[in-house]
Amino acid sequence: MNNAKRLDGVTARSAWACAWSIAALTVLPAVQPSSRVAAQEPPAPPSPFAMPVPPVGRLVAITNATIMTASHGTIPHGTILIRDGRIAAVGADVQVPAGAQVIDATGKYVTPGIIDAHSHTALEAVNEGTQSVTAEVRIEDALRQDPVSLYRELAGGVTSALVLHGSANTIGGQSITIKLRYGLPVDSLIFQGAPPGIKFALGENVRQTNVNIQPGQPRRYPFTRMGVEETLRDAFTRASEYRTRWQAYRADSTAWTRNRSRTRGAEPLPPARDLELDPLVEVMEGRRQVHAHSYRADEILMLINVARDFGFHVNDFTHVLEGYRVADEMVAAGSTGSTFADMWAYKMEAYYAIPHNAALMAERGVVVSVNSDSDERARRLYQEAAKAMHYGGTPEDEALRMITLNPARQLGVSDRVGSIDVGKDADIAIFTGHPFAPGSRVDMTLIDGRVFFDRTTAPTLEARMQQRQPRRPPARAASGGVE
Amino acid sequence: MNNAGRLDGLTAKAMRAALVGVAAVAVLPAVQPSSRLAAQAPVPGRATAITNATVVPVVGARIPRGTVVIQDGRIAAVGANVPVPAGAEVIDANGLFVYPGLMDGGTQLGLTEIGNGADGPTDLRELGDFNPHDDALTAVNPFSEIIPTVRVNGITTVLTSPQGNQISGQSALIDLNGWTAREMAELPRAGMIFTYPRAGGGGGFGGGGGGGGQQQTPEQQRERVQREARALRDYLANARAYAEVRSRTTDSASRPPVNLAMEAMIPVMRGESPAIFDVETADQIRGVLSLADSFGLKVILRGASYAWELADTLAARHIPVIVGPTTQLPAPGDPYDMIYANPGVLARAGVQIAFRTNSASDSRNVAYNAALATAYGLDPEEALRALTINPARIFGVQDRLGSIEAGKVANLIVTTGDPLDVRTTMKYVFIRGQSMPFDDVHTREYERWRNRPRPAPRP
Amino acid sequence: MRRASKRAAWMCAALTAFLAPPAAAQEGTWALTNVRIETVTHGVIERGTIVIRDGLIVAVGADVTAPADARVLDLSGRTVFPGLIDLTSSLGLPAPPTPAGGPGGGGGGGGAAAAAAAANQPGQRAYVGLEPERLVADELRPTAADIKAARDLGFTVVLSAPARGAFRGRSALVPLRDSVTTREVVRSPVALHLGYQGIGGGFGGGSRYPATLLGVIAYERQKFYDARRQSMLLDRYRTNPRGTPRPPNDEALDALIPVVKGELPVFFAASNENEIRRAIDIAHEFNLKLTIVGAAEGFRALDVLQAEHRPVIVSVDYPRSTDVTGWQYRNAQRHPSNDSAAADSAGQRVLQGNPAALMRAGVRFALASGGRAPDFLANVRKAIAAGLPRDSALAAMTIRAAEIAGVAEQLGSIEAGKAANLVVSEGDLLGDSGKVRMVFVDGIRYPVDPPPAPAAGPGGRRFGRGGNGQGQPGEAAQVAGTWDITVTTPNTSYPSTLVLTQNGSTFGGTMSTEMGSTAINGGSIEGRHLIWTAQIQIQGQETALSYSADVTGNRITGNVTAGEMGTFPFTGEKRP
Repeated sequence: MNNAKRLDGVTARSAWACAWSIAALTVLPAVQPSSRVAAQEPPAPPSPFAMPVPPVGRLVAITNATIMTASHGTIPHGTILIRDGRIAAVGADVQVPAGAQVIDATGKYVTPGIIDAHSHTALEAVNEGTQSVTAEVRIEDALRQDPVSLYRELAGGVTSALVLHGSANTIGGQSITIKLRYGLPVDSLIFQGAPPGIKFALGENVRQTNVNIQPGQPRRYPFTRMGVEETLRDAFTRASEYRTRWQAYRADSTAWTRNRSRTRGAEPLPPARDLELDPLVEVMEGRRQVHAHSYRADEILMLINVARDFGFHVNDFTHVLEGYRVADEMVAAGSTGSTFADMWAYKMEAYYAIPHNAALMAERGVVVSVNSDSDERARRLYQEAAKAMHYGGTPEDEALRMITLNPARQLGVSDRVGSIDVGKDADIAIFTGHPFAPGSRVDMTLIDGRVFFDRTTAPTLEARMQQRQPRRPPARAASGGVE
Repeated sequence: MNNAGRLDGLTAKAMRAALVGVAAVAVLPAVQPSSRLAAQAPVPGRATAITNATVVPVVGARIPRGTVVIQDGRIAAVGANVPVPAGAEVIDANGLFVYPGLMDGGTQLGLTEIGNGADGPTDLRELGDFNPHDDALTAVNPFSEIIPTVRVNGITTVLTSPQGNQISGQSALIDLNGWTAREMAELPRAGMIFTYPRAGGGGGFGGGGGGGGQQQTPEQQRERVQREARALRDYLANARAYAEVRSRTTDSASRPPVNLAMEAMIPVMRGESPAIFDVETADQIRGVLSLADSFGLKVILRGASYAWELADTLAARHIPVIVGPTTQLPAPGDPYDMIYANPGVLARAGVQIAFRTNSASDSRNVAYNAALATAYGLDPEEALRALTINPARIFGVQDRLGSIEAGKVANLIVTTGDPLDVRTTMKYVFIRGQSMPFDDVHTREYERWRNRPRPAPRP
Repeated sequence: MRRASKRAAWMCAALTAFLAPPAAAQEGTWALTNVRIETVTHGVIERGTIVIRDGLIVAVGADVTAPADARVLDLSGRTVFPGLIDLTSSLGLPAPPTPAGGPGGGGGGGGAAAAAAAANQPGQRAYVGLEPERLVADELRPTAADIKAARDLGFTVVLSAPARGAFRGRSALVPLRDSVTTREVVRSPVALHLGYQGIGGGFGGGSRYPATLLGVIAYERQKFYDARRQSMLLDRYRTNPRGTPRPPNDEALDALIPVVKGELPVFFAASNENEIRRAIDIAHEFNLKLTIVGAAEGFRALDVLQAEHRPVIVSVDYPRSTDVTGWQYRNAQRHPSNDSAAADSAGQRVLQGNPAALMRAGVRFALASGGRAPDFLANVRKAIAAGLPRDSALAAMTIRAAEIAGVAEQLGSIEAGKAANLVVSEGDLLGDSGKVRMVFVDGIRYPVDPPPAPAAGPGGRRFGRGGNGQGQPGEAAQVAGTWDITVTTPNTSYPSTLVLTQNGSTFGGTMSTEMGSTAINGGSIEGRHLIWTAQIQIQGQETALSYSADVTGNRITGNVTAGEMGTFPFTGEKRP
């Protein structure tokens, strides 16, 4: 997509979206008079397709809150001041300017918006599983802006996510980091300035050993972890040669252009553009982050070696269920880890997954995040992060960082999000209590200072039940049924 | 899996010390058995006393500074002023809490080891639509590596169930310790597992109908559901007829030929053994209620994400509901918090609820499933009951399990706090009075790799 | 080799067509007199004459007199329009096997298998949708019945192209004469047709690349890069054959060269907002001459469509509200639980207002059937009711379509020198009671039979969609009588009996179920499409039931929305 267009996408498109929702309200009735009957009808209802954009938070103050900053501890009774979508002030003594929209968070806990470092949300397609290397496919080509899952993730405090391909392929395709600006046009989901990425995958999914193959259907290469390595080395060997060809061409072309003599010969021929190899060259040149789906220690080490041989490093190993066994090697290779809290035993390669993984990797110096890989789990990542305290005794601050600042660092956006600090984007979750306490839930979620989720207007079960019947009979005490 | 790890006593001890943390260090010497690695058979007659604890008996009021005395696998005494018997092993639980062991109302524990790619140790789903004579207990592996990982989170008793088809078989209520499945059993036959037919493709729930593929058109699904509902009704009619004939014919001469499946249905048809129905939608629940009316079944519902639609009916009819897992997404048009809020709605309407995870490896999270419900309207005290005394009542073992009362089985947990709180850790887990080792595949791996030396260059 | 045999098969078909018994078609010189003429480009002549000779309009006007050699048709009381043009047809092409997965992928890899199976059937090609070289004109084999069916609806020319695939092939503009061969094709190729459908299959593999939306876009982009390079290589080779390696012959890339050079337009099937935006992004990347085809959600992408300054082919095959971008957003918001029916009808109004919205935004467009020709006029009327000026609608079905197809000099209006493609109607073709009475294609007169009953079976009609498939446009089906219907929910079925009385296009009556009897409200009939509502008690709650159905003979099929409980299908029969 066009970058220039994207940069102003948020404002231009949102302005337009606003215009449209107004148009839907005003234009439609004006159109009706062509039919006499319609003119007498009540005004048309608003378009059911309208996606009203929350008002921009020009000046917002969240007051009386317990603020868990993720970067500099907890402020017991503080205020966050948001100006033009950024955090302008945070602290115990912040004055609320006149005219600010005040969100009274008395008794509530405020955390940075949660960042999910492994998501497949808002996608129309996940795997181009027909080949094991599909570096050319781009997740942003399949993004969709209106799925319910985005709303539900917001309702769990999630404000940013790394949206990845599935793990069918050794090299799945180009990922995208999004902000959950639900309701805005699809380009506005994209987290501007986030480094580009690519999804690799190792192990059982790539081998397709757990896939039912129809009789007569050929198996796809690779079928072993050895073949996975070979597939990677082959792809990067081709990419290296491709890069060399382009380098040579650029040199020739420059020389040819400079050479004005009549005998300078035919203009050099550029190599064929290869969309599969372009992103791999970017990887080798450090311009694209590698996110590697991985389970076992052996395959993690394999990829570290392959990457070293081709002059790049793996940005993050995701799932990385045996990361606790090779944490030192990961640190040495400059790789981070993004894992499940406690998922295991769902397949053979997840058998030595331990719930202490996050804690242990962190102890060894790995930057660790806890991710969802699921539209469902994404809604309760705060509970998942607390499991790092339960298993392995991770300190509370670090557990919170595993779903905020650490994923921000992994995704290269920690200058923008991940903690409650002056100058950062006002991406914030407001909890009814301590985010790790059992009865707490998210009441409000803001991105860029805009309220994208508000429990008071949310489609709750309670609201649904009130619509269904006027009033339930008074509650009775619980009594034994089968006794 | 790894014997070396299990035998390595020192390592495990060190690991446990690390886990327990500063607060409990003082406690350890008093209680430290000779080895924490294998469950120690308690010395007959010797008591264990947990003192200075906040005791939450679930039935009855909290005891701020109480003592629980365990003897011969049972709770011998509980109270504020209970004397410690002479010679008792004393656990000073100052600052700690004692709760009844937690229960998961629906798991596959012991029946499966690995979800995908290793079918060998999995015994979940028999072939055929009606398998009432299959007993889960037959296939429970007491040495499943998953069981200790669940136990260390305070889950002491679970209902483990076969899956799938229309009648999956008999579930078993088991304590999570024992040398044989029979030893583990609280109830070898706790209830017959049914799946009420459902058209697929609603909200992505696991409990779907018997074999509805995604490939079916809505029309085909409808036909299948009708066919299956009819088949189930016919089956129950046959079972009732068989049970009636059997009750009239006592001598073997006049008895009809024995049909093992029909034999297994007799206690269900007599209302002695519960009929546990896995359902989700209100339509399915209505179907179950209609069967209950026709055949006099003692019905327990499980799953039941849409039970809130019929909360008053279920309360009035005293139908208990084992909800969960709460870690599911509602269907797209449903309220965003429907799955979380459903348990609270049911409880407030007076329905007796319990929780289930419908999983083996995730069974350790049953209390956190309940915690999600408390964030969306379920009273925390009721949530605790739903993990303890309610399931005991639902399965008819309230005289043995589910609360801290003298005379009950000593399934107890000693914790640093509320078991619904993920941050809480377990200090002791007692099953039938036996202190369980905090030793499982995960703690072993943790301990081993925590002690991995920093990689050194090859000499 | 392949092409030669294709040609032979085709000549054979052509020959058969010539040997067939002559239809009632009549060629020759015609004078249509005393007729109201909607020229589209030069206003309306209230009473005038059109002279046709050698397939062309040779004169048109109020003062034109019929030449001596002309057969005079006195068309008093009738109106003549330019023949309608449908730019979204697959006339004369074998039906493609449906791949397992849609654009979103996911299926089980049945697509490739189905294609292989199709390849084994005589006369079927292994259609996989990756064939830019495919030339529709080469394989056109329409049946006379298909042609007549389209013509009887008022179409005189259609643009034929495969309806699925990534690279679908290059289209042909086909006049709806009884015997059509390449000789009669108006223009070929008109455009390269693109879409988003892969070959199907997902995680499990086994199918061919590209299977999903992800792969399709990457594949299309790669092919355009390859074509650019091929073009450069060929240029170098032609300019300097000595010393330049000969580029490989590649039928597919060769076909793409005029496309990347901006000479041959791209018709990109893109219905929803994001599909439109993605197509425009691809067009920008390669400087393609883009026309969006479909654009059902054009109203959501007005910003980019305006900026493009390119015409759009707008389908009036309106999608279901539930499939439209934004509906899921609505699902995520709090709203009254029983307002689905109201929201659906509000949604339909928005969708029907799509052409009007494009018009207001200044986007040039043609209207097209979207592949459902029998409902075309009824759907256009809905667009008009939703704000599209009637004359703009007419232009969009005629001259705008001709412009987009590059044949505005030959077709699309009633002007001397243009092909004599005309529709004679009784009443306004775009009004509620307009009826097609006669059609001229290339000066050949074709009588019009009442439209045939729609074909039954899969691919026929969808539930809950409006339109007239049966009976004259605007003519209401006869529904009075007693109907037994059965509503099926996932677990059970509910029989009920309807006793209906009809008054023109409205009806009322009672509905009886085992729970009692209730009145039928708001019954209205549009063609053979019925809607009505009723209130019943469910679980002690007053629940609104909203029915939508189609009648075919004495059969009725449709669905009922029961408040928030959901939407359920029903079928039924009229008692004899």
